[in-house]
Amino acid sequence: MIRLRELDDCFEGVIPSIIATAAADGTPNISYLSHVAMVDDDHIAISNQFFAKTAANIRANPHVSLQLVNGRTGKQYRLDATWVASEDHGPFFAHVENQLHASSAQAGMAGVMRLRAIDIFRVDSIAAVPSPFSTEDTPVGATAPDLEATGRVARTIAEQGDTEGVISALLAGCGELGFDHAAVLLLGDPARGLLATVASRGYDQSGVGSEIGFGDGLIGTVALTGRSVKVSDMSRIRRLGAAIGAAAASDENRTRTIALPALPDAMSQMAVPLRVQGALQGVLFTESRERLAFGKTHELVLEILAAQGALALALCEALASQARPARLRPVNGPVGGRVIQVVHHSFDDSVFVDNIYVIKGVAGRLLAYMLDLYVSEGRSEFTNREIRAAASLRLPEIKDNLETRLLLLRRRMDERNLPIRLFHAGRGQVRLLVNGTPDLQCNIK
Amino acid sequence: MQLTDEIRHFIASPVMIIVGSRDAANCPSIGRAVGARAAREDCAEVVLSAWQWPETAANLIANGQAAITFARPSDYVSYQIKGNVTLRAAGPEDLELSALYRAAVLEMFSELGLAAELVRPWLVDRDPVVASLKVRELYIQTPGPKAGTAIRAETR
Repeated sequence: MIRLRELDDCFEGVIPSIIATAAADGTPNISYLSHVAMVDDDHIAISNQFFAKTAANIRANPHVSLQLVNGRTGKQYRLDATWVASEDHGPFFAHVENQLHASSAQAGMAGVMRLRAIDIFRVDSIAAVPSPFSTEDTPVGATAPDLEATGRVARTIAEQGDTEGVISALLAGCGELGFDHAAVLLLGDPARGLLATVASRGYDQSGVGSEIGFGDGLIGTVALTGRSVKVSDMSRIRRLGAAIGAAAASDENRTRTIALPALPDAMSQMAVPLRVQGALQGVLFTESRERLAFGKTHELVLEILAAQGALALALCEALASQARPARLRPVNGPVGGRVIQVVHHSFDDSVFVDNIYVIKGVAGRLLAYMLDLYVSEGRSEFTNREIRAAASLRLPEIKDNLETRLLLLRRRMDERNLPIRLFHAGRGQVRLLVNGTPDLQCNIK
Repeated sequence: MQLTDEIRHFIASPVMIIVGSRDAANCPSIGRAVGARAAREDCAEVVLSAWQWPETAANLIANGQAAITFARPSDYVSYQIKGNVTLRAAGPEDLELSALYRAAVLEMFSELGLAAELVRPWLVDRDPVVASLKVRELYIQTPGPKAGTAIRAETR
């Protein structure tokens, strides 16, 4: 007999699944299913959002038949099953709810498809539907990364000694394992419930500094729930919400909003959480122009990289905070050169350098803090320890991810090619390099 | 009950056609049809492969109880009809209907970005039979709050 776990590609939602039920009087009923999930080797769960008839029929007659289709090969399967329970909480409910939330949020329909309950069925038999057209030997889609390459990438990540190295190794590893378009988002501003992009690969616009709220789309859903989410056919979702996202490319100097790195024609997307000891640190995101690009193995591999990356990042943070403050040097010689206009808007902590938008939020506050000391005391080197201790930064949560905020700031300044840059100056220490004379204005509006 | 012109036109277009039936123990089965037409004002006919869907064919011969859905993949517009079916062998015009349907479905999916290799396993007409369903009930099944709404149902 075919086992349920062999039907992985049927559960990706590329080709809709179908359920047939029969009423007590023998009248059959057909429903398309928005989501079928494998619960264990013998059980599946369905979300039956709108069809009251199916719900009524299974309570009168628990025998059902389902048709599942492999999204890579087109192969059809018949599952005979028996309804065992309806659940409105628990881990399987959460799994299905998570998936539904992510896909409806992507379509701009968050909240429309609220999951009330899932129905759980015991699978009695599985049979392949015969077809003269066999496509089994030529599956459409990518092949899964192998264990050896995954292990090599995991080791490389573990060997990194600083935050920058970990992020770079993580993204390089994604590339090596076939995830050509990937981004790392880390907790930017926990108080505002935001993640910020610190690095990406495979995009025309890196999107470094762009932010996304908890609960928004695929990435925000992962941040909110701490569980991985995958979408294998964006065209289905896009057809539901075609107009959404048209206003994406706007002028960031005006809106103070950086666009997320994104493929406009992505077909598959996946996001996995970066978690350490149960606490969220960020999200690793990947996408592809291929339909059904990511199978179960891809998801496991990305989760392995994310777990390894999260541990390494947490360790870098911890070690940086313990680093002994080095002797701080004053600025060498008189500062000259042209005047650099720096404006810090305190209402959102956005910082503009020569009218170019740099960043806002916590990272903006950090930059303003360092520039203020640079101007008033002639200081150019700063330790994590003193930044953490600085009361003026109003940062109760900064101890958790200062290193990543500094990295974000550094990358953003490099990317915008600013006359003010930040450099890593040994563990737990950064140096400000200013090519000119900053004129720092704090704008309270 | 009568099918409206809109629905008669819809079921004859390249939409997915699913046939639900059940056996003597009231266990349901699913089959996929490859071509449909409105035969009379209250009757829909679909062509299906008795080779690919033997349970469906056996159920329809044994008790005739059926539900058929017509669903358009591009926008999810869907209808379901229910009633009693009679089964007959397919004639030349039924084979022609099926051939036209299969070509149209391949083209429709190609426009949606699905490769022909993926779709072809669903489009089988080996040992074709024709199921004629006298429409007793008709439902809107497009996903959304109106799903499952009866358009009209004759009293039985």
